[in-house]
Amino acid sequence: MMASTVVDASDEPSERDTARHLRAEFRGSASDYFRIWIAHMCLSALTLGLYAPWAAVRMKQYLYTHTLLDGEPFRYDAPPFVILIGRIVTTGFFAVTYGIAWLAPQLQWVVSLSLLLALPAIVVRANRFDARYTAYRNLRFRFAGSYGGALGSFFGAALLGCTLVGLPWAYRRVKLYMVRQWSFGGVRARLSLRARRLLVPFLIGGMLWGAGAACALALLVWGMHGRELVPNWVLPGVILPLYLGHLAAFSILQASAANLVWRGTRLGPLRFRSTLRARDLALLYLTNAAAVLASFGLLIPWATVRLARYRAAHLSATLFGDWSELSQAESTPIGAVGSEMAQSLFLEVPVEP
Amino acid sequence: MKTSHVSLWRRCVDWMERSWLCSLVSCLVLAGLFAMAYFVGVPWAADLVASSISMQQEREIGRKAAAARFGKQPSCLPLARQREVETSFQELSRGLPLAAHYRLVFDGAQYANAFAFPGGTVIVTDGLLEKCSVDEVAAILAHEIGHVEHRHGLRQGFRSSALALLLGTLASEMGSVSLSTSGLPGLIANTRYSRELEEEADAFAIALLLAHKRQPELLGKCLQRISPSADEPGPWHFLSTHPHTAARAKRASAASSTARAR
Repeated sequence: MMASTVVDASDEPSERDTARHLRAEFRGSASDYFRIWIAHMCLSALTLGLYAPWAAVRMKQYLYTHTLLDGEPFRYDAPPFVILIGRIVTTGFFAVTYGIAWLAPQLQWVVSLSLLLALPAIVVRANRFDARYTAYRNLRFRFAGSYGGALGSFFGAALLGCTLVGLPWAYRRVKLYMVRQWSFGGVRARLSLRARRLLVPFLIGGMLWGAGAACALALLVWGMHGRELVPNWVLPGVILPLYLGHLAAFSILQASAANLVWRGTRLGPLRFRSTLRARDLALLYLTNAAAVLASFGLLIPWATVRLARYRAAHLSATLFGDWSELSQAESTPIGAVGSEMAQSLFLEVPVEP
Repeated sequence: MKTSHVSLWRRCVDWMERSWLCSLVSCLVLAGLFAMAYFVGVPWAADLVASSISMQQEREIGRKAAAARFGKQPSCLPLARQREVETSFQELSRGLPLAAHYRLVFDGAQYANAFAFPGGTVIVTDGLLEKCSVDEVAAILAHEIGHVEHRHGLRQGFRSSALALLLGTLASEMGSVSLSTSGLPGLIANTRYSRELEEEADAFAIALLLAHKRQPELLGKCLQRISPSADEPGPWHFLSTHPHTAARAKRASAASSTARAR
């Protein structure tokens, strides 16, 4: 966490003198966040979901304003009403999809294909929405991606990913495109990323995932052998190794990918350093999942705060020069349909500061 | 005027966000709403959707599902025995509202079990016919007929879908950390619906057997032979899709003795 260890800025020796280390931290508390969360969940449920966009914005606001970089908070101010419209459109879309699947199953491939083709547009719109309403030091973020660009990068990544060995390169392709579309204060982000350095994490992750699946399969075969009825413990017995394998693989990939991407990112005068550790993340996810399950969901705010605290504590930035390089760019309002679709399809949107 | 309304609302929300009392009340309200959705809302919505499906569509669904799982292994039992079972099946299903739709299929599987698919397809395995007498098999078939008459296949299917939708929405609204945390409770919660429908099919079977002057206790005897169980439900019972065998057998024999006493 010391400024002297940060990045190799050998290409700009003159800026090194003015380099300043910026610490990231999360100052939210689980007890505050819990009370906000439960009150807003209750209001959402009582209004049958109509209030949910206001609740979602409020919760995100809490998390953003309690995330500080160099003592300054992030800001989030998406208009809930626009989100509500986005949700209504998304719900309508999925209702129609479901109806088609029921009434005309032979047309289902048309729906699947159009959804697949719309995927880049959804991701682009979701990123644009999140960027538009996120600010830091009164400077807004922006996402400049286009449908064509995203389609090209996703298509290429899908081809590379098919080969399995090409997965790190597929990941690199998507990340390069996505990160480079973000800008802050009028300055585009730059990213350099070597896929070769992701090869080992992908390999280890794949092996762990496979080991979990193999254990699950072995338990299933052993549990069912010579029995007419499946014993009740087989289900949790199979899920547990699968989950553990998935968790381990996910943590390793997330830690190494996030560290590499943050280290390779330049945003105007800013450079970043991320020091996530796979085993910390795995332990955090495991204890969070256990706590959430055991508490019937009541410990979700606690789990969220823990994760945010860990992530922020392992991220820092270095400022070369000063903030005056950045300026406020004009911005227009953006609809939330893409963002809501992305959420329903479980597409991860990289918004975390 | 409007601004004062807004500030009043703001202050109200602000108080709700700080008060532990409000948190407690919110917990209770949420628990109550969830219980209502789980015990009343989901079954009601699922039954509503199921009732909009025509018998023809239901038969189509059931046929596809049955073909996907059975039919690869034809029965090896002598035709005479098959005919005996077929006769008692027809006798039991005669006169029921869905009588025209029933179809009994013999499958060569060695494990002892019977299955009812939506729309009237009932499967019995060779294993069941080898282990149990014709009258016992008839008692099991009465249970399967109960599944068909009450459209359990469709209703359970829609219940699982509705429950998955409810839990998925809840998890995403609550900002749950991972998908797996909504999947596992969903599986567990679903088994309760399944046990409930099994009990309904048992009750139907008991009534049907009594109406045909047969012994409901045969159902319990047969169940205990094909899935023997301890006297008390074990620690994993909450994961079971069926009610506890001993309890089912007890209910069946109780029905027999009351009928005899009369």
